[in-house]
Amino acid sequence: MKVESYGWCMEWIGSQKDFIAGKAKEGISLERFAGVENLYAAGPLEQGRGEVSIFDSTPLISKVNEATVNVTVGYGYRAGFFVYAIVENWRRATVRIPIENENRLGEQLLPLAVENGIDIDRPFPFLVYCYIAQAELRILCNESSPDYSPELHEKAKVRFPITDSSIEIVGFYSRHHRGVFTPPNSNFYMHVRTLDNRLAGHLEYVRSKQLVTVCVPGVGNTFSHETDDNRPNNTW
Amino acid sequence: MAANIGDMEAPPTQTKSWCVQWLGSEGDFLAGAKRQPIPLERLNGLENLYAIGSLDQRPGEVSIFDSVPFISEVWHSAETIDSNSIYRAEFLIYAIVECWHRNSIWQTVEGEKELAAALLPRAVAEGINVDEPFPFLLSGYAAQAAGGCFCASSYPDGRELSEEATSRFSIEKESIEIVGFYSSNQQGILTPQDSPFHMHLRTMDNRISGHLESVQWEQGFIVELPARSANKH
Repeated sequence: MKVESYGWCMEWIGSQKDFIAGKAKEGISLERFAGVENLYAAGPLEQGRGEVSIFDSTPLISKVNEATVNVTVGYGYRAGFFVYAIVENWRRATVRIPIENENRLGEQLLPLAVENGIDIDRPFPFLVYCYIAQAELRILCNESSPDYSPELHEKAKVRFPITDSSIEIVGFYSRHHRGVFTPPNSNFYMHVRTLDNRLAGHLEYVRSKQLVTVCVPGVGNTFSHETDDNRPNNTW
Repeated sequence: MAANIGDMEAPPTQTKSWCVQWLGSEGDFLAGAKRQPIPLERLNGLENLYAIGSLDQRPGEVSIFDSVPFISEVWHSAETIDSNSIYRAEFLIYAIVECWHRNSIWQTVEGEKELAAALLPRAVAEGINVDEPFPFLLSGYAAQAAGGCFCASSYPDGRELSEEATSRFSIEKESIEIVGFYSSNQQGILTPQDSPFHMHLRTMDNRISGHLESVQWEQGFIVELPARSANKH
């Protein structure tokens, strides 16, 4: 499935539901995305072996090794399902209030998206970066070889707290794709990285401190500047 | 652009879709030449504003990231950041940019020459005339950064700025955001005499902001440049 708009596009391959049910027999090769510019993506690795989070064409592969997160960079992996966007330009808005949950995020994100001509009844990608008080990261760590299943999926979840850190989130919003690429109980599918790239993976929840920058796809600069503008002095 | 703030001179650099303007000059500021200060409250409500400058009547810096003003003051050796008080700037460079094009740079960058080598080709690719001033943003996990308040040699009231009253910072291994301006032809006006860059920094936790003198990236960083005009697509 694909959503295309002026200057950006978003697509997803497979679904969360099929992946969890063990129906995603063939993983999605990430190598086909090597060389794609302005790529932002998220998904679990096939068989729940870890997570892939792509920030501006940099694929961060997260695996759990002896109860610690190991993040490497590379396209030589396969995903269980995969949602991605190609976005050339981003429109930013910085808000001075903390974001404590998905509802608060939606309150900031959706008006910005609408203002930028995005149809919020269709899926769209977004970025967030900020300094957080607390967040929780989840990485799948399935070490079993049998077919993947809902039971294995639950067992494979390993959670890590993040506190007092600078983070970036790549997210995908949709009101109509629960179980496809957003969780069954949410309109948001988000992956996170700490800016030092020490941690990356699926974002379970986040509580930011003040000042959060939210970005949605932008078509380019449209603001018009004229030197002979007749607006009175001292005003903009 | 009619972005006049009072009756002060405001030489514009235009493109069709974003602009850079400045009021006063760094050279005049350092030389103590008196100019009409710019009340920052006039900027209140402007969206997509990025600016850097020096405070009037007191040693300090103003750094505006996406319309959020950060004020760093040096006062009795205590550096504070306050986003709410009303201040005036004696020198200010600002840009209004709606839309940014992001690039990730995965290489070690240290020093202005290396930064210019990383930045300028990307700016050209984005259709920016690098012979004219342009704004940029940098963000990421810095190996090292240093700077301070870029103060005049004396207070406007004639008091010498004591060593204790100056404020310098040096940070290591910390996430930062930088708003910067590049100008190869306005050195001493928009930028220091010996550099085409004028940059201000904030730590992502908003603990420190101020004039940036050096930065070193070891783990890659994000460069954002004004995106092309929408009608050029």
